[in-house]
Amino acid sequence: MSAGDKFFHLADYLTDRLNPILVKETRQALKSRQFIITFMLLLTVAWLISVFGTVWYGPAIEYGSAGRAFFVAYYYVIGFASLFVVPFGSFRSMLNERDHNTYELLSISTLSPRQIVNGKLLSSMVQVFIYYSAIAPFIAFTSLLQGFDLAMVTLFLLAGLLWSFFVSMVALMLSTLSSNRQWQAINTIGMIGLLLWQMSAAFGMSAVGLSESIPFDSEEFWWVLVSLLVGAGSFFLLAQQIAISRLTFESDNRSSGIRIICTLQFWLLWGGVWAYAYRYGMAAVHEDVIAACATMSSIHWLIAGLIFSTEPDHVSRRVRRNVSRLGAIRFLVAPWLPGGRRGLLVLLIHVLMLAIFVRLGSWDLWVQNMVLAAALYVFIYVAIGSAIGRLGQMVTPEFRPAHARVLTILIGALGMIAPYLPAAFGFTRWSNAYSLGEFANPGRTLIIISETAYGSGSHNNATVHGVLLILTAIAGVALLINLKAMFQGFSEMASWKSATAAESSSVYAED
Amino acid sequence: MIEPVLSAAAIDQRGEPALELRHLHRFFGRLKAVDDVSFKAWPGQVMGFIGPNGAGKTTSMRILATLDTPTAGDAFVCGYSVVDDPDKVRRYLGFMPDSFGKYANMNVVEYLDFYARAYGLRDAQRRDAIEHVLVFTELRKLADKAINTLSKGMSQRLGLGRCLIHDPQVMILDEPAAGLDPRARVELRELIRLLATEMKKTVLISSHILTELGEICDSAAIIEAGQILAYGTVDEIQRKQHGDSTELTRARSLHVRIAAGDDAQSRMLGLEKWLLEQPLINLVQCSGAAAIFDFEGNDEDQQRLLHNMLAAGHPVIEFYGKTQSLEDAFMNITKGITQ
Repeated sequence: MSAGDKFFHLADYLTDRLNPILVKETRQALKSRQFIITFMLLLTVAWLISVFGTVWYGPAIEYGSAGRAFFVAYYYVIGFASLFVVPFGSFRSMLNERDHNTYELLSISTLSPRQIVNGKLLSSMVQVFIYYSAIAPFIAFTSLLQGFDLAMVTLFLLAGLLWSFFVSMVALMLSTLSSNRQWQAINTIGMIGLLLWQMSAAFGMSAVGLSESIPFDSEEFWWVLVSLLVGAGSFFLLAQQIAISRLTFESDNRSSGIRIICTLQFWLLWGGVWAYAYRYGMAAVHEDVIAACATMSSIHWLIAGLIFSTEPDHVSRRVRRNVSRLGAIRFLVAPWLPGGRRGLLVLLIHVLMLAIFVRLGSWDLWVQNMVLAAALYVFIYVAIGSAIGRLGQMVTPEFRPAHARVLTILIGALGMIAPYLPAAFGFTRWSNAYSLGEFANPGRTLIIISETAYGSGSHNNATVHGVLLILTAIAGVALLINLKAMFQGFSEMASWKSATAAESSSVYAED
Repeated sequence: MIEPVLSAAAIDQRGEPALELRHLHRFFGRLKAVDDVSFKAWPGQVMGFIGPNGAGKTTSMRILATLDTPTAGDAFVCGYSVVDDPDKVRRYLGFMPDSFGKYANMNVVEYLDFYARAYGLRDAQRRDAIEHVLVFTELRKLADKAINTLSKGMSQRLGLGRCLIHDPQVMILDEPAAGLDPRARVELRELIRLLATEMKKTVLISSHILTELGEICDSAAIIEAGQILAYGTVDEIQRKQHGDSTELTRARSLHVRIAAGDDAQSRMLGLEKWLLEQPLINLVQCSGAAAIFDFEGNDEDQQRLLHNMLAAGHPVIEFYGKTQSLEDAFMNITKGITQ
């Protein structure tokens, strides 16, 4: 066997172990006009920068800090390829599968949705690596110049690479959201806008970062860096899981993965806060940080909770069959299994955790009140959505989760503007003073509570306690309305027995 | 752990149908696209799935291919439910939709290689599968040709090859001959026949070209407005429409032509009169030197009729029976209802 044959067989053997989508997409991409044009353009522009930059600097290139300036220019060139061209390619790659009627054949192969998503992402990464390797000689050239900082260059190249992974994943996720061609066209325009925006934002931040020295010896710098990496990593996983869920067969479990990642994000955020407090003491964690984290958590669970709690309650035989037969495990995982009733339970668990975390921290009363109010608002609005979803399904089977979500958002919007309608129609006079009638407006109420911080603001604690009392009462009613459904949702999975053969073959309603 | 895929022989030995639709329903709002459809197909059988446009054929096939879920009921491929075990179903099933997309920047071998990998074939197994498919579909000489430059006939062969790459036991072909020229149609028909006879595949095929289906199908299911109107072997379907499922005798249309000559008109009148006097004969229609009539006798009666006709001095030069085709059965059974 010749060396060439040996190499061919080795390559064949190795590619057999790779994701089939990666092999296919890489083959296609390397033959595509888009890749060839981008690659040639990247080399040409980098070459022009080198030539004209050298001419422009003249003899100053020997003693000035030209290295940094050259690196910035090359960084923008590679940034365009890795932050715009490649993510857009990822986005189009998934859309093309639908547009060209190739996705259906792909979906009925034995490839799992996870393999499809990961394969597409990895093929984008292969392209990024090729672009990086193309620019590498030019970066090496900058290392010969004054002002070249290896640590900074490494950090920025690595950050650019990771950001490209992240943006490509988000682009892939967005491409799975709509199978409707009209929406896809709108999606594409939106995607181009989004990519241009994030690219210019990334360039702007890079310009600021590159103009200053990086404080590698500062502990705070590493806290911020790790927090950003962990946060972005969790959203990367969320985007990946959403994309996988969108490609998953209807009767399979599309929900649990997303629920688990949302839970993980919540614990990562508060775990980080507690780790910081453990390292530097509770006093080092400022109330404003807690308020910001609690607001983020509330928004996170408001969106996630509304989606989870309005899901259809029917659980397919396939999902049931894959649930553990051990009662204790079923008891623990039940809230994370698909279904709106269990979705509300997940939300309830986490808003309670949120309130408990802040109470345990013994922070100022204003922040405790604010977090409690935020948690109550989230529960109330999501519980309304859940109840609307179940009621709608009782009225007509045509009532879809999206209807319940839109109705809940409209009710929320109405709740926010309703207190101001009498004044808007001239029945009462406008007043800047907060009244208890404004309790339905979360934004205004939370601001009022935050204004009581350290005794500041024009509102006293009695007003805040009054609002909290109203919200607690409404949350209690919302809990009572949904209690039976939540209990049923939990007990259905916790005490479920495996389907008999007769059940398996019976005619049933899947939808 | 991945379970091994059962061979055709093993599936055959289980005595189970390779394909079964059990009270399948699929509703889109108020539209009942598939309404209580049930039928079975066994290994080595080619089954025609016939119906007018919008009858529910493609919807049923998509459910079988695990591309859609039923509103109620279930479908099984080699014993696995399309609802509960779509992953297992996919290993036993090859689906060729009426139109399938092609990837850009890809040649025939790369296309087949991708699907071989997608079905988990590795190393020699993958290479052998590709080689086998290239030989079977006669695409060997086009192996390096870009797939988006293939003719319609070659594309359909490639589609069939893709279906076969993981050696599935059941193949679902939705309008595979649509848009093909006569030669390509005949060649495709031969390939499909080979799949059943030599490779013992179960083939469910839908087509509008019923004359061709009649030639390759062992059985058929006729669907209209989402409901199965007739199901069984082609012969059974023809018998059932006459309300006679036990007797082999059935009305057949016979054609007689006599020698033309100066007195052809009087000879024809004589034949018509003679035919009307014979038992088992109805609806005699004469035109020029030919007569067509319904005959309710069996083969022996038909033989006797010809003998008597010649003995009576009628100058018969053509005598043949026109058996009812699948197309006739389809036209008689369906009512042209569209949803």
